Amino acid sequence: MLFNSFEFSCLLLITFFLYYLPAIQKWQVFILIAAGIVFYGFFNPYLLLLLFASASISFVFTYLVIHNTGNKKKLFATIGVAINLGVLLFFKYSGFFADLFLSSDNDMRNFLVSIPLPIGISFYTFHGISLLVDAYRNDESQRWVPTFNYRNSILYTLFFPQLVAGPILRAKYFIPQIVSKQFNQINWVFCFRHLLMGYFLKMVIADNLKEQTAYFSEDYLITSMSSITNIILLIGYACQIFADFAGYSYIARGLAGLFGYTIILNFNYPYIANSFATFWRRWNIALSQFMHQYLYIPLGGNKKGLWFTYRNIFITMALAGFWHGAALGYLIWGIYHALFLMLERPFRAIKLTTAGGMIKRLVVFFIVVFGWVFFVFPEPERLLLFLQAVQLNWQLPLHYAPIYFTCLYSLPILAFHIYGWRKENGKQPPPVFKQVVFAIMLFMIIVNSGSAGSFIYFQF
Amino acid sequence: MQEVLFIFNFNMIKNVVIYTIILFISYYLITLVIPNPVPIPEAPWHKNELKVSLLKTQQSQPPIAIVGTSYSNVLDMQQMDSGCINLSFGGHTALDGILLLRHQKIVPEKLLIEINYGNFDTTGWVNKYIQYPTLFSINPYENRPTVYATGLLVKLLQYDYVAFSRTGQYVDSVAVQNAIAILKQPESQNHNIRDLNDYTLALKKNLVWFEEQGTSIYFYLMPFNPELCDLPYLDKIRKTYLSVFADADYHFILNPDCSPYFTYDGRHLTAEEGEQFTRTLLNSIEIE
Repeated sequence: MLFNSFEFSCLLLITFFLYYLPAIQKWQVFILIAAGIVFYGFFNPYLLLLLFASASISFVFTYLVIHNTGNKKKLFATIGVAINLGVLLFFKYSGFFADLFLSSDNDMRNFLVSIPLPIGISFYTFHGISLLVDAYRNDESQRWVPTFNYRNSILYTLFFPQLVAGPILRAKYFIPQIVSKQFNQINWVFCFRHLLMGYFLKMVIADNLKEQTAYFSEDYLITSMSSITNIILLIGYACQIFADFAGYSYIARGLAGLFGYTIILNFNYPYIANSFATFWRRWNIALSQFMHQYLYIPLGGNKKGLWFTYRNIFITMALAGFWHGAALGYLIWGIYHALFLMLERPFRAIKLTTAGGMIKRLVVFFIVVFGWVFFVFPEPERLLLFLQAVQLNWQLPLHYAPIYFTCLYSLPILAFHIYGWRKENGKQPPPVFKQVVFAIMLFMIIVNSGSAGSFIYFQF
Repeated sequence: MQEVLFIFNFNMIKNVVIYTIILFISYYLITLVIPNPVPIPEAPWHKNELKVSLLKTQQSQPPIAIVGTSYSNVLDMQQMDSGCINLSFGGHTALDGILLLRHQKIVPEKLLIEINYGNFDTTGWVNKYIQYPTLFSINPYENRPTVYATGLLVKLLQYDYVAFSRTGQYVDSVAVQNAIAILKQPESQNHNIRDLNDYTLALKKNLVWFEEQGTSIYFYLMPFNPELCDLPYLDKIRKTYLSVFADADYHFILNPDCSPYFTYDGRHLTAEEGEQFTRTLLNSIEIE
């Protein structure tokens, strides 16, 4: 179910009403679970079987981890993580590897390639892993253990605001929040701001930019467009993917707030990052933290010398890229970022002037934008086609309409980041200005939304 | 018990709503001052939406209704009688137009159905209008009909409309040859025959209603660049249509002369070529 659909509006209203109905307040968790079931199973109820199986297995092994010690504890945690990774590998990557290593007339290959990707599987298997690892680690995360039970474990996975496209919630932050909620505890302004921002980013920016970047969907259109048009559309895609995913995360945060839950702020003005390391602390923060905590640190982080640090960065980023999709392009995208992270590492301590800092931000921005080509064209043949078109088509005339509308719908993303940059420098606009901007957003949502499309991150 | 936060702090929300109302009033006044808003759709999707919105005022018995894809968008409606409609939806199928006509109970005298080449989707993009007719009719901005804020900005900037609307129609022979080379590749022609069968069967089922109302039904092919006109997969598609509709009393205009058409991307006719083909198509219908 899409956040911007009529069906979802009905589900939200009914869930919200029942959730705060005093007579059934003790059933709040079950109401949220039921809403999650309807939300996820709306288009394909059979996928719920896999979701419940995955969540239940994670629960069982987490239970065993909590109630055992020593080697047994480690064994159960390992098996639980392996099962989650196995589910992810089978449904998401088996087709890719089969296609790579088996011939096209092989029955096994054809079977594996035909397996559909269950929506949200990358997110709920990572939730399972977080549950297991947080339970295994002997740190402050153990505080949530007393409230851990099957009901809470299922809600952690099925909490509908973040179910299909994240952000990836950490068990130790979410499960302690599962307590009785009161209507008068809702932070309305917080929810209003997040929902408005999220819907604006999704419906006005991402959905309209999607119509322009759709030119990338046909090879023959790419080759017939000028280099400048192609480049501007790529910048438009950078704005689109930000608006789409950040929009989803803002909506998720606003919706969670309506039900008394706090989830992570997943985007923090990523395109003003002055380094690649900073970019990854601003972009998809939940995934970055997950990869950092559950992969980079266990690999040794930066504690074992320079070359091990580089190795760890490379592995972490390559896998983070590959997590996005079973295609070579996503893997290359991860490696691309890893290379720049490694490249900048020796120069981190160098102080730059204000102008130098600005130039560095721009350089990082354009390198990040160029990196999106691996997302738009995950298949190498199409990537080459695009690069050839950019290289050869300088003499072709411009396509005015896509350029105009791409620039127009990208402008708010630029303004958003300028606002973020000023805010980080202690310059806040007066409240009236913010309110007028929110009013413009609301107005634009009503009069200028694009055609409703699913969120880009659903496919991951 | 958690701290009670902003429950009484509705000032911000109230102000935002007030400012939004002011914006709506200003917007309405501006559209009064500029009575002929921007006629240029900003994307194929928007063009589709405009066409759907026009159905609200459509007469129930047009002389001709065209249903098709982006290829038929270029047909020149000026050459046809007033009241004729062109429900060609870029990125979608002729079936979408047929579903809409049926839903709106519009019975044309002649129904011209473009034969689809690549998209055999039977789920129906227009179903959102059919399933939620109330939502569609109560919200005038739902489909951004003729007035929309970003378009108004184009108007205010006094942009060169002619150059603007010709987007995508600059004929550059290198670009067209590049596109043709891609379209000739086997991958570009690899269409699923099972989807085509399902699609033509869905068409057949829906056309019964038009037959019962006395509509004459014509299937036609849009011409491509001559280099693409005789590709084997097009022949396969033609044969499928002829076999599925073999027992029906429909007319088929399946072999357009592609030689006069260069196109701007190998497949889509330019505006001038569209005018030329419209004449040919109308003549063919008269002969039939």
